[in-house]
Amino acid sequence: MALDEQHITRAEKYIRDEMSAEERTSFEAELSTNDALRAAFDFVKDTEKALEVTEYKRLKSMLKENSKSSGFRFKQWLGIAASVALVATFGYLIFGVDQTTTEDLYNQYYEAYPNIVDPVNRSSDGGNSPFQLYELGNLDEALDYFSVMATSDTTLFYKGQVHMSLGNYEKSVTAFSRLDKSSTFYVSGQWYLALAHLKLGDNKNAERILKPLSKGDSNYADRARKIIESL
Amino acid sequence: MSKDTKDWILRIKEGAEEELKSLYTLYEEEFKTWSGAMFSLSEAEAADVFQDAVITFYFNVKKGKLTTLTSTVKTYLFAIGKNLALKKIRKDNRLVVDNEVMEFNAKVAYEELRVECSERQQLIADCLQQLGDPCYSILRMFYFDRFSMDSIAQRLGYKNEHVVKSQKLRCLQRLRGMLEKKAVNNEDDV
Repeated sequence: MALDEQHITRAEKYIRDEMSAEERTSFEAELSTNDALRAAFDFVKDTEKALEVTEYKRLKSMLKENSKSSGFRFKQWLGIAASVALVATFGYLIFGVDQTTTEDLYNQYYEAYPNIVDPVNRSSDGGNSPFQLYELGNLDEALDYFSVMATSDTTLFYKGQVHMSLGNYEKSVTAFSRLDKSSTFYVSGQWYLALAHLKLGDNKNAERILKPLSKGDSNYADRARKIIESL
Repeated sequence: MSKDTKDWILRIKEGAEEELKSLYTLYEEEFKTWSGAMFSLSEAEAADVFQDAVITFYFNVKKGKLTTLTSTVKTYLFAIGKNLALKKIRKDNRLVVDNEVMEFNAKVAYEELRVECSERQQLIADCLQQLGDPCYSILRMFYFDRFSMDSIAQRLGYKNEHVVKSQKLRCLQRLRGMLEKKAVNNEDDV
């Protein structure tokens, strides 16, 4: 059953206590008779809870890392280092080569960034802007537009995206590298820059970019950590 | 209310997670010493308890349950920490016979952390991890941080709040699709 926007909005208002007493009573009565509303309500409630649990785990791990007692004793480090060396040695002896390639990592983590600037909607014909062309997969045409447009952090970021989708990884590296630190797209740009390096087999540069991302508080932190661990 | 307390609440409400780290670091050592003396908590146990106390404070601010404090942030955090420590030692059947414990009697109102969740909620949490950005950030900012659509648009560089609103709906649809797929796969595994 598709989610109905109005049901979602009403469920959110109910959960956030933004309804009048009258609206609440009517909403509660409708919940027992309207299956679609009930489904939307349960979904919103469960999503909110799931986000809470996810955020708790993330914050807990962030504070643990920040804690002064999280530092292992030297002996523990030695123990861990010895275990890692043992596992690595056996792994190498048994498998000979690493099991996860950078190609696998790229495929696992790469997902094109959506068009958030000028999305295609019912009133547009879908070819009004390079962003819409990108969204619709008309990549060459989108690139032609981006190439003649004035350079801004937004056009740079999406130009990088188009190049990535076209498989022009060197060009996407150039575009993402030019993003200024103050840009809204800087952190996302760093993520895609690291992925492009990964795709090009430049693990050293990928790791250099992923390290600060893994220590930051963006949504890329966990994924950056996981890639670093796999490299 | 002190300026310090008001500032912490405002800064956390604005979403600066660095503030949470600073707050934790500021009182971590003191809490460890205090809870070690009062409840015989080990260093690791005290750290664990204090992390939960700080996160409880953070969640209460985010959910709008805590808008003002009559005490300092430190008193508030230590009071939550005390309750969590007592809960822990009761659970472990450890005795506390120190009357000094009762000396710290600051009464603070807060909603306890509840991190247990249903199987369906855990499935959604798994899907959220796979959802990636910008969807995860939009949903987190809306449902967890409780930012307005306009504020999310500004923070994530969207054209306007309407674009965020339609993107959020698409994200929810995608999440729902992932959930249904996962639920079917889980049934097949049984």
